[in-house]
Amino acid sequence: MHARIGIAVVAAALVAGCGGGEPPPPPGAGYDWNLPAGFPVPEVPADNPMSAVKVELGRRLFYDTRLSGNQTFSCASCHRQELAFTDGRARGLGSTGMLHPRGPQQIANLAWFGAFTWANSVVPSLEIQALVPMTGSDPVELGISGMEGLVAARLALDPEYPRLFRASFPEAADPFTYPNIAKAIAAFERTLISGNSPYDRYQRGDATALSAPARRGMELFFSDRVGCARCHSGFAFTDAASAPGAPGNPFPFHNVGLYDEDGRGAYPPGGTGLEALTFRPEDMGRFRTPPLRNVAVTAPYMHDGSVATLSEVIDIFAAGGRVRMQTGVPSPIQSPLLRPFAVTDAEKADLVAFLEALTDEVFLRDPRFSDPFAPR
Amino acid sequence: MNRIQTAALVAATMLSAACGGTSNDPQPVTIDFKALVGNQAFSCADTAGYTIGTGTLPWIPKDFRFYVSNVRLVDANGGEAPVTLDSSFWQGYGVALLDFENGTGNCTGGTLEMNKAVQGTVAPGTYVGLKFDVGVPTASNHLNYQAANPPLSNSAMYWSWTSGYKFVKVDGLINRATPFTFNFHLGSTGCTLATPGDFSTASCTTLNVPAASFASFNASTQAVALDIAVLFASTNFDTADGGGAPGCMSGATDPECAPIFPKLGLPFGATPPGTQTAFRLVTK
Repeated sequence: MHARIGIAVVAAALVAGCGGGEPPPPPGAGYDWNLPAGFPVPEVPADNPMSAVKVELGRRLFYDTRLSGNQTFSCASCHRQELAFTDGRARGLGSTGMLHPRGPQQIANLAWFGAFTWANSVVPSLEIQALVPMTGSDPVELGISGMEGLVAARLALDPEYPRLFRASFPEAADPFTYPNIAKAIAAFERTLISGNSPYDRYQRGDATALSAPARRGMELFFSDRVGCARCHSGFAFTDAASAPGAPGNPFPFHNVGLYDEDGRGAYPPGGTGLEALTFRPEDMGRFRTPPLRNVAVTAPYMHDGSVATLSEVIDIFAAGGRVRMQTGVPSPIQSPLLRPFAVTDAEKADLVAFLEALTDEVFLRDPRFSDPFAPR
Repeated sequence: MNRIQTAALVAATMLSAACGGTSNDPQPVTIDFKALVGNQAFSCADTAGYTIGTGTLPWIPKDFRFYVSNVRLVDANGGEAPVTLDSSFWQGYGVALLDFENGTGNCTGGTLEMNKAVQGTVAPGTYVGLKFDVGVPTASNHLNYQAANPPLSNSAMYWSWTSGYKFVKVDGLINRATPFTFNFHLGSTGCTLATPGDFSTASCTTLNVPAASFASFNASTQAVALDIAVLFASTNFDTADGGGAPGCMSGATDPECAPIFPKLGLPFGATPPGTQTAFRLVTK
């Protein structure tokens, strides 16, 4: 297996080495994205152009337990491909056993996102986001903070990495840096594109791809009465993502009325959403709209995993929020986009059928996204 | 040797200024810094740690770094002359990184290199005092550190979740029944970008930038010391973390911050700011 990767790397390096003197191509345009129909070419930061070898490096780093302080965890420990890169837990568990206040996010179609993690308005790129789980101390996830030198030294001892780093960052005198680790992981993450669900095949003209209940659920989903698409909008089913140049929602954070601890809309500590960052009372309980592709395999739901099933999620939104469902009174600060609607059991089943038709089985098993260290 | 040289330069500066020297060229200035534990020099090699605070368990060094900015010398009339920092590995963006860890002992996240002085130039004059801020000004505090130059390219000092910097990173290991890292990370909080994705539009509700001011300062004989025995004087390292981040990471309601912030002259919740005492002048 090592030999096979080695050959691929040499070939990629050769290709990259040709064409000297010509201006570099736009960072996202020259890469073979293998995009599903209807998906725009993503924008890529100018200082982190895509390349096949960098994506391969990022994939290895994503799955490498040496990238945690105690060598027990990788990114993939909490982001498992078969669960659309979630882990099935209500709240994540870090490499040192620290319980995360929130659940691991799904990872798909991030190349078009303008906001990352559950609620953060000041981390604008995957390159910066990748540092949060690596070096964060509250909570400790990969637990590298305080061990940066040691971890880099570990990677440098690997027979493959020095070559992969040099080929991925040919301009750098010393490519073995933390920014470059983050850049490679970001490049890999940008390739995690999911657009081959039954819904996508239906959109591309395969009328048989969606069942009759799923088609009815789709109508409801996009209807004004049910209104899911007010926030779960666009090709990624979230207002946090948009096509390059297209007007996106610059502030895709919403309070959906899950908690009201104090009569003023407070969420429990550790899950106060954007408020934890901005300290603004109006940001209490505001979270980024989660994308919905593969949502059927990412239970439990909400930032704290407090809702077990999609059916219960629909109940909450139909009631105009969980606070309103439980007390009859909505949270005073919940989003005005949240409007209660009547829904029959049959309609609910149709909505669930539609959400289940967003599962992209190809994505969940795509060998390009799988663990390169796994025995074959 | 380097120290003697720079001290001589400062002395020369003061001399020429005092004699009404004719040159209007900026004069070099070096301000030495020290990391102290009481009267003892901080060292990562002291792996037995220091008994500081109100408890009995020692604080074992893991990290000791901080940024200073807005450095000014003060003349006899109270006039302030900004020190223009030299460009170097440790200085840029009007910010200097002081680094007292050397990667040994438990300071495994650190680097061999250390930096114990701020170097720059100041307009000719006779100066009697010193003022500076601790931390990174908001204008430079939010950027993509991967594209930044030193000293803001330091990944250990980057506070990824705020896309800003840790102004002070003083971490210690406490050997409780379960070993505990007591982090002290000071930085701006309550930050937003007026234009999403545009770091130049950042603003923060809580800057957490301590200001130090010394009316009488002699650069040739004195150094500025950050004394963690003072910084943690009201902290009990024996007791379990009361909530929020492990240690104090500037969270608005983190109980471990309340005893520390006043030592830097910073308010914390209902705790009034007071006067900073953690920084003081010492003989070189």
